[in-house]
Amino acid sequence: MLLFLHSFLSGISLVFFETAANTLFLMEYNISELPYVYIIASVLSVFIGVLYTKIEKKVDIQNLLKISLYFVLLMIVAFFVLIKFNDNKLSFMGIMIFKDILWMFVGMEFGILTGIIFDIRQGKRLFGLLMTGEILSGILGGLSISYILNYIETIDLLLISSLSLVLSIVLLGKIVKTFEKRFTDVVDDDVDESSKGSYFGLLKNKYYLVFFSISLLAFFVFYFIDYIFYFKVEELYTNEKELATFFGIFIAMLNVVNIISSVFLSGKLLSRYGIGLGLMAIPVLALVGTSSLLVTLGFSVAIAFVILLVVKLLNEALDISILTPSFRIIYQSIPISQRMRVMAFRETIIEPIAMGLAGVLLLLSSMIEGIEMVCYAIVIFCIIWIVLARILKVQYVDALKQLLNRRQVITDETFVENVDTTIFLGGLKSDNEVEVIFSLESLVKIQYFDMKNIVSSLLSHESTQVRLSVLHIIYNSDMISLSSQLQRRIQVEKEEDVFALLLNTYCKLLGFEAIAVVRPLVNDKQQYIKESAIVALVRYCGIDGILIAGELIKKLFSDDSVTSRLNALGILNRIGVLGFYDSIKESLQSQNDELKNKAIETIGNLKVKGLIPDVIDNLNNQQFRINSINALVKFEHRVVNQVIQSFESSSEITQKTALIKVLAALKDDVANEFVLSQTKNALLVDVTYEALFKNSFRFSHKDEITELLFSNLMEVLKLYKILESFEASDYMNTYSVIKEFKNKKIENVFLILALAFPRTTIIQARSNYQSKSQEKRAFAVELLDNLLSTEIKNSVIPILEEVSLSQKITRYSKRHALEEYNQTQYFEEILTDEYQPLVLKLSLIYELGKNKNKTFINHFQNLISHTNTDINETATWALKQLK
Amino acid sequence: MLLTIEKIIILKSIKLFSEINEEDLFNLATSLQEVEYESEVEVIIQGDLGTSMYIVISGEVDVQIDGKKIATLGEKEVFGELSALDPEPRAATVVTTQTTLLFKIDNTILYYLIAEYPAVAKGIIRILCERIRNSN
Repeated sequence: MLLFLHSFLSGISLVFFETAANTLFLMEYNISELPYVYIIASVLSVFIGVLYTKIEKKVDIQNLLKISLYFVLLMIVAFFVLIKFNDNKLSFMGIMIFKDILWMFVGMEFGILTGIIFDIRQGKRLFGLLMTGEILSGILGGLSISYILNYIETIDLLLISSLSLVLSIVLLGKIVKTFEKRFTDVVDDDVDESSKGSYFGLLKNKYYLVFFSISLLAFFVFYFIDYIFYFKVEELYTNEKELATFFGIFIAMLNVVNIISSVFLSGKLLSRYGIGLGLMAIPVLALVGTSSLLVTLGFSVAIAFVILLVVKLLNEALDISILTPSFRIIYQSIPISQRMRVMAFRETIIEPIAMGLAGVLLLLSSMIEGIEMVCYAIVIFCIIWIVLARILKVQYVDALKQLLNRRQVITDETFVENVDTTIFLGGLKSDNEVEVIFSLESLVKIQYFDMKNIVSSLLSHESTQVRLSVLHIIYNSDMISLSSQLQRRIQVEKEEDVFALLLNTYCKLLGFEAIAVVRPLVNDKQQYIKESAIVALVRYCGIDGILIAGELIKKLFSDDSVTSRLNALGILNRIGVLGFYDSIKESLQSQNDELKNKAIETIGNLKVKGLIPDVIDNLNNQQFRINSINALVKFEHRVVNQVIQSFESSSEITQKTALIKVLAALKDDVANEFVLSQTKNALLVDVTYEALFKNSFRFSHKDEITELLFSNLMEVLKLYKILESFEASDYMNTYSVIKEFKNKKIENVFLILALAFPRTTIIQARSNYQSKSQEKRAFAVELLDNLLSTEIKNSVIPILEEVSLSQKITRYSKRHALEEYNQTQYFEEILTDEYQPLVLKLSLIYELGKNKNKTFINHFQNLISHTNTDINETATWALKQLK
Repeated sequence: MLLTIEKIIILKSIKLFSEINEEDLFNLATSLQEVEYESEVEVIIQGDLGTSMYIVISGEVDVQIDGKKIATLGEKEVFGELSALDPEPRAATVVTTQTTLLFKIDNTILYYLIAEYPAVAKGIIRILCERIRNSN
């Protein structure tokens, strides 16, 4: 109720303001000045938009809403004072310019308010009801104006407008208080990553380009009709009171047409004729209307005005009830990652540009030929719009197909529920499998009443993907009456995936009664039939099924051939039921790599706890490392302590590295804490950052990365200093290894940032930074410059910027004391420090030997007894070279 | 026998692995096999099952299909990658034309490299594309 009243009072305020604005402007100015209003309004709306975004960042939502309405109130009062007591001509232009801007502010305030108070479902249910507040205010306010004007002047309408807005603001305060919790629940999410990046990149996409072109034309048509409308109104009404009365009645009529169109027409028309009609309704109407206007203009002013009135009313009504929902449907066909950008581009760039351009074009056309020229321009715009609408319709279907492949659109209930079932039923007959699946899944989503008959008719569809979709639907339902049809399909189905799902579905519906049909299949010659039958028996056919399948798996394990054992493990993996411990262990100890890898996979899938130590041992072996990591991760938090213990008792760096990967993937608090502690381990720090990044670890506060960033940056600087003083010619490989380490540390900067800042944006920056293009690298730095806090920015940016090595070092040395390095000192450090990377040691020993450099001969003598075989062998080789 | 660091340096100079850090190439260097053949030895035989790929380190090999020579591969060139990726009978016979040193990489290692390093996957795709182009 509060919201309804709030909407009603804001609506009353705007109706009175608009009537006053239109009337005062037309009384003071010639209509030929209207284009200037559009041009100035477009520039001003961009300026105010920028200002709004800045304020938005600085104040909380409650205050933002209040500021929006205070601003509107301030403007209304300001115009009232300026016009009432000063009568400056520019004020009459100003009030017209601000008309649309004030509408925009009130609309945004209400949109944000309802968005916070309601969730998407409540919003859908109640938004229509709340909107009636505004519509009712339009009708009542509009009709009352002629009566009110018997007692006051037009300018005094602004006083009523401001009083109404004051009441609305009071109600806003009450609403904010009532729903206080909702406001505090609004989390300051990461900046929407999708909204970043260049807007103009969107124009490279043909689909978006056509959509933006139509948007532009829609605005043009709207402003051009607007212009003709005011032109004729000014011609007909010369008395201020008559003019204001006319606008009042017009607004009331507009709201009546709006309500009729929204409630009775738009939904039905859109669902019956789809997006095509939605996109073409206005241009067709405007084309017919403007053509008729051109014909009638010559002989009957009255008929021409009636036609114009109808065109203006329908244009406004269809804009809200047909075109806007159609655009909303178009938005749904855009990948979520791009959607916000496309919407923002249309609203913040296309709209002001269109308004400004419309002003310029109107100015030009009225200069050349007057009102007829404007009509011809509308005709041309409409023809182009219709052509583009046809193209967009085709592209829309293609976009849907692409989205469907990513399964995005189906998740959007608001979209699916707004489309008529006839569209989906028609889609089922399409030759295109994607369209069939899309329609099928949409019908499920809206809980279509006759799904059983639909899936029954599609069970033998020629497309594998369609059959899979149909079986998924049956599997997740209780359509037991389809079991005989499924049984017939079992005899003919040849596709492996479909067959497996078919058997599962059949057995799930019938339970142990399915055994009679499925049992014979376990002896089939085809491996996939045999496997699918065993899996289905275990999963769905009760104890009897398990006994039959168990016997068969046992037989496969007892077979000597590797293939049979692999098949048995494959079946166990698919079943996911723990059992056959000894057989799995035996396979794990096999000399056959494939069998061993399969056994590791099975241990993970079945979570065979007793074999965890064996899997950990296999982390040392490169052939089995990936499968072993994956298997351990499947144990989830249950394996944390065991993995940490193994880590602490291990001396192998490769095993420790793999264990870090496992721990980071477990996403467990204890595991994460342990992994983070390894950022202090010089040999594991890089892999630790990589693992944390890969597993999307997030710090709760951005400040938490400061220390990590700082210590990493010190490493980068140290390596830069070393590289600066390095004589690369004699030690080329060592130089190249140090350079790789330096690059790795720079890469770490992005990995660390991604732990606290929007991940996608950082990934985008990293990918650009790794590019060979200088422009892209600069873009990456610019992106970070705009994203990071000042403190972090000051540390990170100089490292990444395209400046010379010495400049980089100079910039940091102003703030941080940097140690000086000489080559001999550094070589000594590499040879003696156990925390220097192995490859660096090997490379240096090798190149010192190759260059017959005897400076470190004593170290070589020590290294020949090193526990690491590679160091030992390389040092021995180097010593031989020196002798 | 080459030192591990020598293997790493050689691997780094091969286009397929040039974008992998030497630290990461260490794992590959310690897992691959170093094999040397005299001249006129069949390294792989058309139709045989095989799961390894080879890199020519020194020497030269001829690639023959049905006894007909279709290519000669020299230092830093790769062969046998198809069977390593998809264990099927070898599509060609490879014969050494002189004493040849090869690095032999098993498919499990190759899978590991592809999974861990996108640059290797890219390199393999590039080699496969070249093969398709040449066969056309």
